[in-house]
Amino acid sequence: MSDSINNIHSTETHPSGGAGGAVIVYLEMEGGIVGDVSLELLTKGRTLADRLGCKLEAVAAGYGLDGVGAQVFPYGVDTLYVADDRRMAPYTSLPHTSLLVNLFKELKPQVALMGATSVGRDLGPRVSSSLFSGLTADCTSLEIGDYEDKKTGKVYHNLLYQIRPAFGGNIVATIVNPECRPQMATVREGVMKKEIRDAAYQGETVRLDVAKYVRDEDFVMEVIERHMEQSRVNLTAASIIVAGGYGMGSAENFQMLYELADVLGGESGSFPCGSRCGLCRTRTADRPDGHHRASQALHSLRHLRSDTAHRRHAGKLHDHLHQQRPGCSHQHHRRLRHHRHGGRGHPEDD
Amino acid sequence: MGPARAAEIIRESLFRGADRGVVLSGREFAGSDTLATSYALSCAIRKMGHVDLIVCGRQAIDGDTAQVGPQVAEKLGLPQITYAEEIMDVADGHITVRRRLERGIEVVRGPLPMLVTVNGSAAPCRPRHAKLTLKYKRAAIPSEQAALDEAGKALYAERPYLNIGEWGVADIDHDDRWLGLTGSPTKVKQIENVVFTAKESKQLSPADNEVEDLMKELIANHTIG
Repeated sequence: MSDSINNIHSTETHPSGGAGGAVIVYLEMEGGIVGDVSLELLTKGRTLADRLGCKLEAVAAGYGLDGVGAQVFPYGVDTLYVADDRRMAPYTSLPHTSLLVNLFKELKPQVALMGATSVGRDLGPRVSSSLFSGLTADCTSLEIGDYEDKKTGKVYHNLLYQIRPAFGGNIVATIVNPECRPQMATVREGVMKKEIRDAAYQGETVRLDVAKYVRDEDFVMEVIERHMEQSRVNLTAASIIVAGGYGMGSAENFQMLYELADVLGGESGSFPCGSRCGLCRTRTADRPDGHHRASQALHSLRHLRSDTAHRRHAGKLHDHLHQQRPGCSHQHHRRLRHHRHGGRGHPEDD
Repeated sequence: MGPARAAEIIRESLFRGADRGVVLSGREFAGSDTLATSYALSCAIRKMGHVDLIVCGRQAIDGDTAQVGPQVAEKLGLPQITYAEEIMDVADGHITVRRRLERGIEVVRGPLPMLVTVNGSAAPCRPRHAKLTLKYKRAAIPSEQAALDEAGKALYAERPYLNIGEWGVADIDHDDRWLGLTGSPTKVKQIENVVFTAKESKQLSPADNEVEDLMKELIANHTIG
């Protein structure tokens, strides 16, 4: 693989990007805010576009999208397509599918990326099905390289390598779409790293006439009720993750992990997002992903089952931290005391 | 869709109340990626006649892509409800479904015909029905029946409900270009085995002194604190 990547450097690229089309990212919108997963994809998309010598484009669909440009241009977006229409939010499958399908037919991008979220996984397959274009779900890595079809001997240059785990993570497959465009891939949140390219980067905004892309018949779904919570955990930004598995025994025992996470994270203040990990709810192709999550340390608490052990350890942790950091806040003392006495409060507490 | 042994899942469906099942089988389907699979399935569903509701699982256990359901819906021009947790109501040609999303729930309503993919958080499936299990336990597709003796074959003529349909590529209205390997735009370039090797790992016992040492070490290397 490394050979073919090295070849890229010598391959001539077209700065206009006219030959192969752009790299386009579908932006996931929630209340006018671009989702983290989309920003991560923009960062990756910028790298791919630089490699391919083409433009990075983004498409946002929803309602009240005036602030999108300011959010995405620093990531190096050259053209932002905005489909602002009251009917485009909240997300429903058909209108967003029609928008992307018709837009892709017009723009002919060579690569299209979206988040492997409940929106991206609903939308991506429909778009790929309509365009007869290959889609690889849950990629953990995206690279550019060449591919030779062994049967026909035909060599394809600058394809998107869509690298993903399969069969429960026991193998990693590199997948390519030699013939069809766009080459589509979804990536989970937190797999790629988001990084601002240039705070002053200026792109162009193109407002789309939604009626030109979406038919009235597409608005058949009615969203009756919607409860979205802000992301409770943000493992992607955490530098310490406290994790537990089946060995924790019960959901109640997991409470201990949450408390320990509070103690570890709360003390230094340098871990802005609570670093917690609950019981895994679904079996997914998650294992290799886990390695991508930026974490300095993973504390496995298999042995920390009994409540007494927990209290002892929390206390001990406090003693150490206190020795190191005499300026520990009053509130923090109280919290630790609470830990040590299993939530029943200290006898000396008023 | 699958090899002949896929008849097992159709039998399982009959045990749980399905009235009819068809296995889509043939060499031509081999090597299908999600797009070619969804094309073949959509052709088969068209042949089955009018449907009101197509129910799929969210994803298969090997590929984990969760693509086939929505791709079938697109090919049939149907709306879809993915991540369904509960069908709350079906009335006046509309279906109301609660969806379980990553960060919340959504209740949506849309017109039939509709394709629904079921999330793992839905209620567990009902057990097999004992009477139906007895009734259908010998249900089989023609290629399974071919291995039986004359007396065995006679049973299927006598009880037509035991015949599970078996369709090949000739039975569905299709375009060869979109089937199997040729209909699969994605190609596997290479496959690597994953071998996890721990660079450094330590096993601790829950003794006080060990925990104390760990704390000192973590603080010393600025992992915490």
